[in-house]
Amino acid sequence: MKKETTYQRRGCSIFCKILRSLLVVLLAEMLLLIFAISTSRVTSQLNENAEDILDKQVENRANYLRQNLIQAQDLNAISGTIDGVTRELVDQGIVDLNTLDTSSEEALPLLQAIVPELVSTLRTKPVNGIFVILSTHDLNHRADDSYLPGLYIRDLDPSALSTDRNADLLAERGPATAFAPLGISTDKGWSPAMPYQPGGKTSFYKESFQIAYASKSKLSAEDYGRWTPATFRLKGDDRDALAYVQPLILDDGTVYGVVGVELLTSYLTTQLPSNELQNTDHGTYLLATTDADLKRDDVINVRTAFLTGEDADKKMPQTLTLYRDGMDWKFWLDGEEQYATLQQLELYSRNAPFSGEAWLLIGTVAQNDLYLFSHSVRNLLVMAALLTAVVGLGCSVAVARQLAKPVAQLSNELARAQNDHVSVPEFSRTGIRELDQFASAIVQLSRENEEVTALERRRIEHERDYDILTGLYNRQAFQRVCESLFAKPETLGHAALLMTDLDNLKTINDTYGHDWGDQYLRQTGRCLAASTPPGTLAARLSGDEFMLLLYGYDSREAVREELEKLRAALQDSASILPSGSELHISISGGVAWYPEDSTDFNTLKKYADFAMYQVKHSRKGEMKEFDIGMYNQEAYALQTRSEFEQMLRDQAVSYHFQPIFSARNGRAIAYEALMRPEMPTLRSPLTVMKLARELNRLYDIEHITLFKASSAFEKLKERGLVREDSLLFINSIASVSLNDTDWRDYRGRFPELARKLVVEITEEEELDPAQLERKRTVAGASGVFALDDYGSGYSNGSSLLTIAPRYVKVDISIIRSIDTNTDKQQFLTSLVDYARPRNILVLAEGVETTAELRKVLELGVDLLQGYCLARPAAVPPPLSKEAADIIHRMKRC
Amino acid sequence: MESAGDCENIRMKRLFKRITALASAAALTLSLAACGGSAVSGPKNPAPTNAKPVSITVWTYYNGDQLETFSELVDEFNATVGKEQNITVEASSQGSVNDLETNVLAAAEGKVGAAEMPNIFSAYADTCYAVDQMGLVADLSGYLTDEEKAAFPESYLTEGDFDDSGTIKIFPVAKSTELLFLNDTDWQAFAAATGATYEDLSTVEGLVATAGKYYDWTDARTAAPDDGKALFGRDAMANYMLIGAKELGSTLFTVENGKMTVNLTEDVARKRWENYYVPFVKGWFAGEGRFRSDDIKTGNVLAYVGSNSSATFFPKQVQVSDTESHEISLKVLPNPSFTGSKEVAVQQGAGMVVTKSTPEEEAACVTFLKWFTQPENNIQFAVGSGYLPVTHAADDVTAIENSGLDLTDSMKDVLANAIDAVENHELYTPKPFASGTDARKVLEYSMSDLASADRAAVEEQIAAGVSAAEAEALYLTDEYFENWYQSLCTKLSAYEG
Repeated sequence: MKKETTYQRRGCSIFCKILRSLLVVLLAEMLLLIFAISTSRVTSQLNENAEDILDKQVENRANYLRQNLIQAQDLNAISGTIDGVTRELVDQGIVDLNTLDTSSEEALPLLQAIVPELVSTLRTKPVNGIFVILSTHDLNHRADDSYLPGLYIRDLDPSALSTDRNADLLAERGPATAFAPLGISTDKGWSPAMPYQPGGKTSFYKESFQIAYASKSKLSAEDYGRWTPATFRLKGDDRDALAYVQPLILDDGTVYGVVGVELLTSYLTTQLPSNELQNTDHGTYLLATTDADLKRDDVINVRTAFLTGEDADKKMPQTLTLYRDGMDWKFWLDGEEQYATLQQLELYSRNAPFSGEAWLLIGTVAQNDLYLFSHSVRNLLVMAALLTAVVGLGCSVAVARQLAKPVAQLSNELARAQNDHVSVPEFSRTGIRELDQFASAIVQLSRENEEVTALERRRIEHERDYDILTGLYNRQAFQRVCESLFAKPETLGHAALLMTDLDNLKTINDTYGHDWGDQYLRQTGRCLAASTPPGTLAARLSGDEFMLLLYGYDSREAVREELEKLRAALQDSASILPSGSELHISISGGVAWYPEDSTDFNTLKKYADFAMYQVKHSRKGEMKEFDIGMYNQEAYALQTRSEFEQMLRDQAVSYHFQPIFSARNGRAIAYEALMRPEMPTLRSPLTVMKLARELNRLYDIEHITLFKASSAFEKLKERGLVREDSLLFINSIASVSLNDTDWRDYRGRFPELARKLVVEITEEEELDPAQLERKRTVAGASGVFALDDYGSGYSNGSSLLTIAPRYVKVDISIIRSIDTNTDKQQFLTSLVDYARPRNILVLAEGVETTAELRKVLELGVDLLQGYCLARPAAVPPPLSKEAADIIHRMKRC
Repeated sequence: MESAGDCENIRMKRLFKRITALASAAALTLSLAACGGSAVSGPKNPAPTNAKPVSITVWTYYNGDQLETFSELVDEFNATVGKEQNITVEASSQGSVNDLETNVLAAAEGKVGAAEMPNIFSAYADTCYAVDQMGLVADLSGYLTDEEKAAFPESYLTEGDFDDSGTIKIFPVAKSTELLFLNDTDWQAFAAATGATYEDLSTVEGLVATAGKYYDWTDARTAAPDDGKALFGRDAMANYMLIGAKELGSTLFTVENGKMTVNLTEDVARKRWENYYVPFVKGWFAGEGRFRSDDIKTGNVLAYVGSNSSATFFPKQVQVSDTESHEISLKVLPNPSFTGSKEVAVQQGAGMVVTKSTPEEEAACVTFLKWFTQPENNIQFAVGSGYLPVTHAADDVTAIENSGLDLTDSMKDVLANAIDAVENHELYTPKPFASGTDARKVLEYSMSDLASADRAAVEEQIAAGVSAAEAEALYLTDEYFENWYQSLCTKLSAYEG
């Protein structure tokens, strides 16, 4: 289903379309062909045709044969002659009918007399031989192996011309003396007389003679005539023959012998050319007799007298059984059905004794051979149909391809043009008029379309690239052009990027209205364009910002000259304001150099911008070159300030805790929270404080410190990492105090811790007594202060008095090297002396060496803090072992 | 005829309808297939070498077994090589050599009622020469390779080279020579009684003497006087004359540049006369039947000189009357020659002459003749007809015996003797010349017809009671001979030049 929809969506190719149509036509043709073949019944027609031809052939041959046989059997003339001669000789007493058949000698006069007649009759008939056999007695009473006098003359080749000396004749039977005068030589099987062998084949003459003899010659002699129904062979001879035998009957009805003619089978074979039955030698001619009624009987038996053709060599049975099949006759031979055509020869008169014995000429061909042609035609038709299909298919494909090719070619060329974004595609000629017109129309349309598009594009491009007001490039176009220029540094040479800002635009707008402002901008644009050398890129970026790129110079100085000219031109340009005063164009500009400052366009832009702002922040109307040192400074400040802001925003600050130990027993009684900013650049708490002070964000710091440190400390407590009763020292900014809401909030969150909180007051800031008071009295706070950095400058005795702290943290500058500096020792001693009576605890801060530790212990401080004891950490470490030892040792002593 | 015509019409209409249907189907098929390649043909038709069927006619003078053997071979050719190459040979016999020649010349001259010229006819050199003079004989030398020519004895091929230019105008197919055929069964009885031997028959003179002896012996067996029987007959009198002359050292017909000169001395003629006419008139020799083999059959003679090809006609029995017959056996002896003369054997047997026609037909003729003279076929024909094979390969008793053909002892005897004669005798073939055939006929019948007629007259007189010696005397004079000799010379001289 999915495939189908894809197919439908994509449509069908023209090749498919044409091929499908052609195949439909081909299919129709095939159906038509099959229909034509099947309705024409070609093969059955051909079969009938073959049968018809065979029938006709046999019919013609039968007619011919019948004529020959009739001519052969017409012996009336010769028999009349013989009768005459016999009657004469009998009458003359030369021969005696009673003894005529006893020996050749008795019959010799008769035989000698009729030899020439026989020879001449033989010459006139299409036969091989002629014979006379004399017999005046009932043959049934004649002794076997006796001899009947007679003559038997043979011509082996009756079709050849006769010869004058009868050299072509052979004597088969008869006295040699009878033949000698005619020059007829004897055949090898010659004998003077005809041996009588009843029942034998050699007595072929007996039937005719006997029936005439028995019937006392009621009928005429020719009615007793009969063809021997089977071939016979003369004794001593090896040639088969058929003979027609007719009795010799005198006028008085005396039967005195037979006269007859013979046909050798070899001659009959030439008379019945079986190859005429079928193109190939597959037919057989049968000369046969039958007693059956051809008109009525459906199954008949025939006795073969002679056959020639294909089956002559086969074993054709003497008697064949034929059955009627419609109009035709068939029979089986060697398991093959044979087609037979029967033609009755009608050789005997209807009333003749042998008329029931019908002679037939049968032409037979095996059915398979007979229908050979139709079979081959059928095969041919099938082959032709298949060939038609194959060739048609091939042609269809070829034609479809041929027709589809130019269209597909156009389509491909169009697709390629689309792929390559060629606006006017090019088409090769297809040679097909319509297609070529179509293609040229597309080209024409594309060309027109291209022209329109080009105009439109130019308009759009212009609108896109140029500032409408000033006619200069706009920001995007400038950016694009510059980028492409910067991609080819060789064209840039020395270049200056000038970023400018029109100084008085806002004032003009506010004073004279925006039309004048626009006027002012236009004038500026014109001036910029006019006062710079050709090739300079100028753009109005936005509002009152312009930018120029002067490039392709050999040196920076050359550019500077141009810049100077520009500045002068700008100053000179003036327009009259509605107020009547002259307005000069005042522009603040920053210049960044290529390639000195940077080779990167965006960087240069940034630098130029920076330089311009430097001007804007100082003296307007000037042009200043970029200074990398200033830029970096500014950049760093900007960076830390921005980080500071971010730090506040994100509260990106953590707190480490440094333990404060009791000098008496070394126990950690308190922890000081120390700020650790977590920013890339901004790491120092001092910087943070400085920025906070500068940016007036001290309150924020105060707030963050209080809450964040408390929260972290609370967590340490929860985790048992600091003692529950530990105090938390938090550095507070003296001049700032959190508001009530914050404090309320703090109390709510850290109720316990609020009582343990010790606020360290640093003396760096001017002390604000009000704030201080507030810190001390604000509800919820412990109100305990620690004076930080005592002895460092800001924290002095005055502070001690003012603040009245519970703890005094002696500044590291006092503690450092206190073990060796007696002044510091004295200072500390004084402080301890002062503090102790007033219940102020002295904390030595920044104790970094064991010597310092011993000294401060010795001098009697109460609390200890410093690296020597424990470093600050997110999780505060315990008292170092070394310090612990010192504390224990000192206190024991 | 009327009904046959109607039938024909109906048949034609039916046929027409079918052909129309078939044609339309075929046209449709072909137009659709757009292919007119293979024509419709029966699949069993072998591809013939010749596109066009060639039918050639052959005229022979064969008869009896010779004709049958020849026909068998023709049939075999038609069924095999002929079928393959689309050549059909139609053979017909014209009866005798003379009939054949008459018919061929009639055809060649285009006489009214004459048949068309055959493609091949069997002929002796004379006939061939006559036809060749009309420009109708094809030269076959171009159709034979040297190798094929070498298969034949040279003299066989040169027989038809009338102008010694290397042409082959007679294709040898069968050869024969003359032998003496003897009814050995009856001879043995005579020999036993008289002491006659085969050796007596080795010379002409011996033969005549033995014939006289036989006449006397048979005469003595009956009470009636002068009813002795003939011992001997001759088939070919022309050969007797020609060979006889050759044996005696002269050539009867001398031919030079196609011109013949008669060279018949009285001596030679006299010797012929003495040894044929004289014994014939005396009843020692005979010639009643068509051939002397007929006379053997009827017991008229015991021996004859004839072509070895007559062997097939030599009977197996003698039939004196309807009922009297006895089996005989054949003894073949060399043709007797005159005492002291050289032994010459006639080389005869008509060859095959191919008439001029289209190259296709001529080629087809040669194809047939080559096939016919292939050893196995040539031997088959020789054995069947009593002729001698014509190629070296076939002209050999062993080859013939090995051919696998059914060979009777007598036929073996005949062929052996014939081959011996051909190999050991000087072979003589008369040179052909214009009207040579007619001249030959004069030789053939001049003496024999006279002898037959005179003998008949003698017998009549004997029957009338005149003694044999008396009756014969009239014919045995020098004058009578002289008359005959002169008339013969006159007749022959007509053919000179």
